[in-house]
Amino acid sequence: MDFSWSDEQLTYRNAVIEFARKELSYDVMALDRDDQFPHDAWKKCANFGIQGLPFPEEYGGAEADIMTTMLTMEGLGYGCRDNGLIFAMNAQMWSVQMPILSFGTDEQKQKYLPGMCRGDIIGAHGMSEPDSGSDAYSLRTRAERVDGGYVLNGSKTFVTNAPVADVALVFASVNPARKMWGITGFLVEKGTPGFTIGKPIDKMGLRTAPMAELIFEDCFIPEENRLGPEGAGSNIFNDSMEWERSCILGSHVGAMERQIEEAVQYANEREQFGQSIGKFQSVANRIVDMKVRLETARLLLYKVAWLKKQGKPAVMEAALAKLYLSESFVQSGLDAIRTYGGYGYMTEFEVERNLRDAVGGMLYSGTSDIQRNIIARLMGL
Amino acid sequence: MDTQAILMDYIKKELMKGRNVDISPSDDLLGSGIIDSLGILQLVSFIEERFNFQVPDEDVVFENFFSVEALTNYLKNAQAAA
Repeated sequence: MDFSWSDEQLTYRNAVIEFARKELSYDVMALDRDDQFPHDAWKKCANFGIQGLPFPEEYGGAEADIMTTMLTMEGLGYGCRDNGLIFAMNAQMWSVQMPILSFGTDEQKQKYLPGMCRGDIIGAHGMSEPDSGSDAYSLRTRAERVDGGYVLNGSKTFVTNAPVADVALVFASVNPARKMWGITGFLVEKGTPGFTIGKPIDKMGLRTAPMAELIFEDCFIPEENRLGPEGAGSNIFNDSMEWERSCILGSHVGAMERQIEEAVQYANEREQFGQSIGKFQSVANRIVDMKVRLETARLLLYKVAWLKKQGKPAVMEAALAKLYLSESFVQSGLDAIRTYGGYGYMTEFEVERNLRDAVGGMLYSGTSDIQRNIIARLMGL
Repeated sequence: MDTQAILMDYIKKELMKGRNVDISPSDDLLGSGIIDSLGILQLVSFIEERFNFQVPDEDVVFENFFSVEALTNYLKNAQAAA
């Protein structure tokens, strides 16, 4: 078993850390407080090559493989303190760009991918609805076939990037009786008659990643905007979830590593009862537990990426990694706050924001409960 | 065992574990509740490993996965074309 990274892969990781420290060191606290999306940072990331990383050169990408991409996202999570920006980029890269690359026509790829890699076009992904969350395939948005295309009616909620998006990949059923086989993907552009974006949704964490509802009222979508065949929507959705889980979790690993380094530094500098608090076993052991969680989470994640690179199925492994990593990020956030004490609870120390940002990870891309259901089923329970 | 028998065997033993329901090759797998969406994912993984055949994403659609019969025909045609 070879756990080493190539020089090229490590160069990617180190370069992105340096880039993030230099170019993404803006006032995240202020943007988080005001629910502001960092447009400039999005564009800087695109110029650096983040949004195009695993995509073909002909669309402006760098053609990095999944291992390199995941490691680079880990570096971004380590170097960039804005978890919301990273989440917003992941939402576009794996849930919009990758499905277009995998299922799109040549025209769709040419129309959207270069702009998304450059940071000029922002994409959103609409699946969840007010009455269908974990039971995603019970969605109610309908796509009625008409001459030359489809008419969409329904709504989507919890759509990341919606307030700033130029195009949304939306899932609707062309045949509810067929259940998941009726679900179909559509690319809906901003400004399409019958398509409106609701007011921004305020949330606990990841506040720099804007979120809103999408509403469709007799919205005509031409046939050329359908993504993939009719009924392939569920597979498009699953495909994107595997990429998303691998790479968004990579940035969690990076963020947890930074969190631990900062906790160690603080525990060594902060003195109580005449010695640094890191000398107290209850503090040191807590930080050790953070480290154990980080390293076990990292191994689970690397295995998922390795399996995907081999072209092997990774349903169980992806569920294990998603469950463990998202829960570990939350626990790591709590442990960091305990280490900092009262200061960790104060916004200006930028410790509590990681915890708020981490909570979303137990919900998006399949809740922890759903991951446990998947694992149980695959274990034969 | 031929392809249809292999698929029937897997579905009965692995995906319908603990459920005593008779199925026939023409039954609607999803519509009649024999398997669910996770079962479809498991079925794709099984096919890829057992038949050493990568199922293209765009082929995971109703027409090919409606029933064991449809799936058998799909695999026969797809493998012949490969």
